[in-house]
Amino acid sequence: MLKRSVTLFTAILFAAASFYGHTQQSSEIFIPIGKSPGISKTDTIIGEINSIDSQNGVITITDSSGTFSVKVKNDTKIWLDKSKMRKTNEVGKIADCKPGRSVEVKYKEAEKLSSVTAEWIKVEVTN
Amino acid sequence: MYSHQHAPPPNGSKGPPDPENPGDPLVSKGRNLFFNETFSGNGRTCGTCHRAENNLTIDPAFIATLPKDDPLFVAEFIPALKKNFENPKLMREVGLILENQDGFGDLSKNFNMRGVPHVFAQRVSIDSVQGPQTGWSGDGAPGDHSLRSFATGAVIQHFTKTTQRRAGIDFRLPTDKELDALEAFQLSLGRQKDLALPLPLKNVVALRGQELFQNEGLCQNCHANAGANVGFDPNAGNFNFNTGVENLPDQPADLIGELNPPDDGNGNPGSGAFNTPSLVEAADTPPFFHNNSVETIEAAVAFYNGDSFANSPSGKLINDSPQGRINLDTTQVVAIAAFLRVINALDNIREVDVILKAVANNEYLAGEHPQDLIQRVKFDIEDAATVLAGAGLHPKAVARLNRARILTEKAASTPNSRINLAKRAINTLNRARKLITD
Repeated sequence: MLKRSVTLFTAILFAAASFYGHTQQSSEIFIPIGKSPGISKTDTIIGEINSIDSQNGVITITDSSGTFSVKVKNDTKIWLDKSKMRKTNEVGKIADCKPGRSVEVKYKEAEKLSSVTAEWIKVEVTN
Repeated sequence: MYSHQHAPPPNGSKGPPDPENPGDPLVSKGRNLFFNETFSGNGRTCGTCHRAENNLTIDPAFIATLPKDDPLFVAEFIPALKKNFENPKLMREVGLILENQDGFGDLSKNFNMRGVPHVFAQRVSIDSVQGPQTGWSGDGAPGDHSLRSFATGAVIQHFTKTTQRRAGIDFRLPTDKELDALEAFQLSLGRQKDLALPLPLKNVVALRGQELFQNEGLCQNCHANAGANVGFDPNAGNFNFNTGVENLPDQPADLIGELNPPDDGNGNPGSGAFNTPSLVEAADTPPFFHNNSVETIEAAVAFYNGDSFANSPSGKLINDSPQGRINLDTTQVVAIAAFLRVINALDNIREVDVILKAVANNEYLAGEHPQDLIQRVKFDIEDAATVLAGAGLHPKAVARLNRARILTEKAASTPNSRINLAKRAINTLNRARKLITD
């Protein structure tokens, strides 16, 4: 009886715990473009902003391999990389994604597709 | 104590170890970085909080022994770090470190105070079907969220010269090679595999505690084999749970009266869940829980009898199960704690045995010379004796542990006799172990 109740309890516990996931790695904001450990260049797109559609939350960026459409969702974090100005990096907004600026996009998809959804975006600010 | 990485025996095995062959070079490099590299920051290293001589953690009693210019106290002597970097009162009195795990927007309000976890047995404590779980709330690492990336986040949080946290100015980021080495070193620390319970323990109270741990106490569900992984699926690994620790009344940090915002744990906004730590290493690494809210292993066990746990999401699942609310009587709490004390002592003996064998063979271990190794084994032998004596367990084994400690101290002070004394200490430790388990 005890063994059965323990098994039942653990199954419920597993289900409850499974919902917790990674949503917070707060120090990422201070890591300059291209320096994020384990993901920069492998799970991110580093390129230049071509255009921005603020209304639909889409930016297009180009890197050496092509052009990518990046969806910006409500939970997408946008950070301003001011490291070249020797200033503190800051939280940004989609309007900061101006054409011509360098960016790094961490996409949510398992692989680099022509259309991706951004987990976070780092926008380089140099002036 | 740390590392199982042996170097091959040096020439002749009796003379000085070959300096060209100091063990696994990556682990050795990682060890050097962990304890000595400041990353051009405020002077802190990883070892500032994860002290080699204090089970790779810190606590108020240990903190009280440090000089006032120790890098741990940078908030007390670096003007740029006086505000919003640490709370010296909570650090000194409760052993708490300031973390901005929910972001760096308003540093005066947006922070939490957390204890310093030991970093043993990470090889068997981090992996999970949910991805790697690092830090007190399982979400401590930037980048790919791995243990390898954790060091980058730690440098940004704890090593900075100013709260502006500008990479290249206030600190430098670890390189890829440095992250590789730091990860290798951390993975070498402590146990490399989980226990296989039940153990054939000789003390009847600890033996009963082991039974309770695996059955009525339900401890095994979240701490399989007294480790950090869940017990109901061998492939699930390490998880976060909301057990209500944050709701404990009269926590020391709150009683002191300093600003101590509620900690919402994993995520932002948080789920209230915190990471499941390994229990094998618990008894000699107090205080317990993410907020250092209790000082003794008995109190940590008793927590699961209380209202804070019973009213938590995890506690409610148990209340609603056929098992019902956890209701351990005092003797049962003490029995489970005795079990945890005994397995902790056995783990210390295991670690010391590894180190003493390296000394007896005149080998390097993770880049450490035998003379350096022998200097620090006494801390683990003391820990084993203290956790047992603290609950009146195994007095004869404690006597032998004390004898082994004296032998290692003699070995440390007389290098010419180091090898022979290390061998005698190994034999004495073995006798102590046989008094505790078959």
